[in-house]
Amino acid sequence: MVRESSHIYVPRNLGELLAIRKIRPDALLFAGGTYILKDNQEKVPELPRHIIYLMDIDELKRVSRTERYLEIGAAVSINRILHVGKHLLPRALWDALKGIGPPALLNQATLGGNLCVRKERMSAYHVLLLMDVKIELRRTGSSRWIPLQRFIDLEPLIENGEVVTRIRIPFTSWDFQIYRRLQDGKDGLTYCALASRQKEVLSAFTFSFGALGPHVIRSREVESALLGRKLPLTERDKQQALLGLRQTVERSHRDFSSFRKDRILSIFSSTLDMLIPE
Amino acid sequence: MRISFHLNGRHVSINTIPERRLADILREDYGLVGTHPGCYKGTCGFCTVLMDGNPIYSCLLPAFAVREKTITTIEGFLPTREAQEILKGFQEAGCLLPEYVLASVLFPVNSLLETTDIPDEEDIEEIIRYCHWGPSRSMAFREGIIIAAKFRNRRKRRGKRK
Ligand SMILES: Cc1cc2nc3c(=O)[nH]c(=O)nc-3n(C[C@H](O)[C@H](O)[C@H](O)COP(=O)(O)OP(=O)(O)OC[C@H]3O[C@@H](n4cnc5c(N)ncnc54)[C@H](O)[C@@H]3O)c2cc1C
Ligand code: FES
Repeated sequence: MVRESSHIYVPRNLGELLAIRKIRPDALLFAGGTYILKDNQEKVPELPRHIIYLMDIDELKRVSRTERYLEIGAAVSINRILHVGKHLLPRALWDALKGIGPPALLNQATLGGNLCVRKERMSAYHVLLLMDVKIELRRTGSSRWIPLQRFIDLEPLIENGEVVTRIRIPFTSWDFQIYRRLQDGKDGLTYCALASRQKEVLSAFTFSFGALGPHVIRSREVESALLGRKLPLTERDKQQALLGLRQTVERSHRDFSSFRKDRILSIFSSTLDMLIPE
Repeated sequence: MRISFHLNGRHVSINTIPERRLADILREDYGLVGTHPGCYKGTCGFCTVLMDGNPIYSCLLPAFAVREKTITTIEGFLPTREAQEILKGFQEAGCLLPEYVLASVLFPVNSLLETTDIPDEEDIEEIIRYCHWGPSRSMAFREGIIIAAKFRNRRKRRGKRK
């Protein structure tokens, strides 16, 4: 049987995109296509009936900054974001984006595409989640900014007729940033921790672990228990934080292998050791 | 779907299924067989081409995304002095690149030399990490990149003096 090909819409500006999206809310939004085609090894990929191609829209390809934040269009390539520079991008974000793959892949992959994958949490997500990032969703006649956390929890992710248009990353002065990626097949993990220190006191601290699929491990209780603590942390502070994290993992990720659970605790433990006064 | 684009300096137009991969179009419709798709999933790099001057994987690019873009394949790149400098660098280092790896080596090395005068260990490591050709782990391969950088710099300096 001859397969019917997809109908491709190629809007040239945001207005056109929103108008097409309105009449074709079911169409697949195609940015870099690197996730969409990643595991599709058919000679001619079978794609949905209607596709909206996002990469010819200038408004989605802009990068701007104010004193308070960096704003990135959803269709800006990851490589271009990296070119904004190590001095401007938060170090943990730079490491996360750089680790996605070679420049040839990063020339195609976009930040919007990275955050809009539904089935799993991709590399940028874990870091941006901790940075209080906001996402702009547009549809004809309306626009809303929502926190990344809420965006991911939304069901459906994007309402009919909506498109992610911009990502706003506040400049927060984290003076301690770690991003790690440990790839071991199903036991793989990503980890991000951010902190600010004021003299000998921990004034802000946040962390998350990501595992294959949609798992995200965070513990607000552990974070807030550590706030205001004197640095370096005492043995007691560290043991309590580790216990809190262990309980979180046991409670919500019982299915994790003991190898993975131990790994989470040991990575976290070494972060606590690294938190020393500036 | 009719798709027009610039291919190795020529304006071309093709009627094709929009979802077809650029890698296949290049080989099957234009006979540009220096593009060697191997994995079709963005890992081997053997299908690398330049799109508007930047390396991309042509196996991950459907025809509809190529409209009005400028594509340079390894055949279009080889005659340039940039490509020749890199080849000469590898040759002097005693690292002979087989034909099927040219696109996956020359394009990333060229991108690196466009942005860096003297590639450091980290830059070279990155090229090697993503290169799926066994001998890229050899000393000769590293040397090849460093010598190519010297050729490139020498030419740039000469250009400035004129
Ligand atoms: C070999 C290989 C390795 C990879 N490794 C990694 C990795 O380590 N980490 C990682 O994070 N990713 C990885 N990826 C996946 C992918 O490259 C990235 O996640 C990339 O950032 C996705 O961006 P894209 O523009 O290609 O998205 P696309 O593939 O175009 O789209 C992804 C999803 O987002 C939706 N979408 C895109 N843009 C919008 C928008 N503006 N509004 C609403 N929905 C939208 C699409 O409909 C689709 O569902 C890998 C891919 C390959 C091929
Ligand atoms: S065929 Fe392997 S990266 Fe394209």
